Amino acid sequence: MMNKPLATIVSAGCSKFGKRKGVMARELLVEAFEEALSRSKDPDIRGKIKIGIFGNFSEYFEHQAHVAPIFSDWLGFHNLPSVRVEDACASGSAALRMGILAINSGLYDVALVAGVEKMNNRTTTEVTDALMSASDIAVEQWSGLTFVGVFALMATAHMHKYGTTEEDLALVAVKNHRNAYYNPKAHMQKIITVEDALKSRVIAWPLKLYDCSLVTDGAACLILAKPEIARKFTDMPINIIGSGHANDHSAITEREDITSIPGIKIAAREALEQANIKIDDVDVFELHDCFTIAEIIAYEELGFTEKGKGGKLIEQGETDLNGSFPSNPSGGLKAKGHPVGATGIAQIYELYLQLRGEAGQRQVKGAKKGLAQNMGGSGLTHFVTVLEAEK
Amino acid sequence: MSEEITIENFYSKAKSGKLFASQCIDCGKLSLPPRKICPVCYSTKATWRELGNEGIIESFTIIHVPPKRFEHEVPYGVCLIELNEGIKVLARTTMLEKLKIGQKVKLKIIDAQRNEWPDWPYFTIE
Repeated sequence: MMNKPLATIVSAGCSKFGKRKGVMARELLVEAFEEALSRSKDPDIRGKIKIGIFGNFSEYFEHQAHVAPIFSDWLGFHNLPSVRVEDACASGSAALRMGILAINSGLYDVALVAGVEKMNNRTTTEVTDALMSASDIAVEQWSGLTFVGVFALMATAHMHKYGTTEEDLALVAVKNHRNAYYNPKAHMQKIITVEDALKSRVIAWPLKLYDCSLVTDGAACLILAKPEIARKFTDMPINIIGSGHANDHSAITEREDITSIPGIKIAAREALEQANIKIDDVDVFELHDCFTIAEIIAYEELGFTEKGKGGKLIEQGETDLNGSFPSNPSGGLKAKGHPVGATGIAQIYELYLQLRGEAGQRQVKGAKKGLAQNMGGSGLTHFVTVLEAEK
Repeated sequence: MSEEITIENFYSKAKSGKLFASQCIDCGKLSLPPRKICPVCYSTKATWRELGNEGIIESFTIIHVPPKRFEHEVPYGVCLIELNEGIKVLARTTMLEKLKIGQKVKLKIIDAQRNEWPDWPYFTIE
């Protein structure tokens, strides 16, 4: 039986992703917000928005804390209650989750949820340091384990235990680059081969440059409304029918099995139960491929295949656009790019396009239900969101 | 052993060359770094328990792009070690030939010789 939607997406926008020299985070948000305003059939949707919730990871990149009131000011609001939420790479989904709570509680009729990160002001070493701050200072950081390193530990063990190969990892990158080629907003629209990926330089063995998501500047936003009033703003509402949120131990040393990320499964179960559907009922997926191994483990945790067989699934092409579990049509974090705080919202933006049939050459045919999986830190914070196009 | 169960106390004990975990008095669960509230049974009664230095490598990576603090050490390995007592630690090493899953290793503690916070020691392997 269909439950009432938790909230409805009535509009959405996304900036061009890339190395956006010459613009600041707030200006990237303006770019995304202008698109969202232009998509609304109510020209005064701005006046209906009564709260702004912003996902943003690090004040280090622009040396700017206290961003929420600055962002809403720059978006042209006066006296809009605004708040920043931070959950590392899942900051965007955390903002969405808070937006869902704001609407579903009945406190607000219309909410703006957005995410942004402007990362390319800093050097690679500085970005490495900043990202690393999302892992536990008392454990991972102090050992010299970088953020890539955390996922490299998972990859080494997965390869040893299940026979997953470096080629399997490369295939994830190849697929996501192929999809991004058809996404004009992607950071990199460049087809790559398995050989390109395998011969790229090592970052944290066994992970190479092409196993890693991009350091990207970008912003995305959604306008949420109570389901009952959604049609005032759009003729094609996208309903949020499931929202799962889970946490794991703070350090990877506490995780029983380094080849698993159990929080994904827990968050997915919650979201799918709310939506009252099974994973096989979902037509299109946006997954958190911060590193290629993370997408392979996500296949297993979400139940696309058995534990240990994620590598086989990519070999068989089952997660291609025309496969049984089309994953990351946007190009994913890998090729669309990973502006940390924006990612969770940008995943939903892609599903919004897919479910409205607006995704152009990367469209998954006839997609009606979509699922986004977004992760923060070394697998500590998990959000899974299920969307459905309203009939 | 009367010191309070804190991360700072864990690292200052480690500085003297000995590795201590916290152990839940009620269920026996060991924790590294030590913590007061047991993550299994939620008891708040914990004590210090000295650990040996032997374990096996459960996984490893070789870091080529480091954070600033470890720039001078690249390439270096970081391994996830399961100690004989059944809990895990991370250790950094430049002896890359030792890095093999299932390899038996001995944990070694070295003073980081730092004058700012955190002045915690580092874990490596012998």
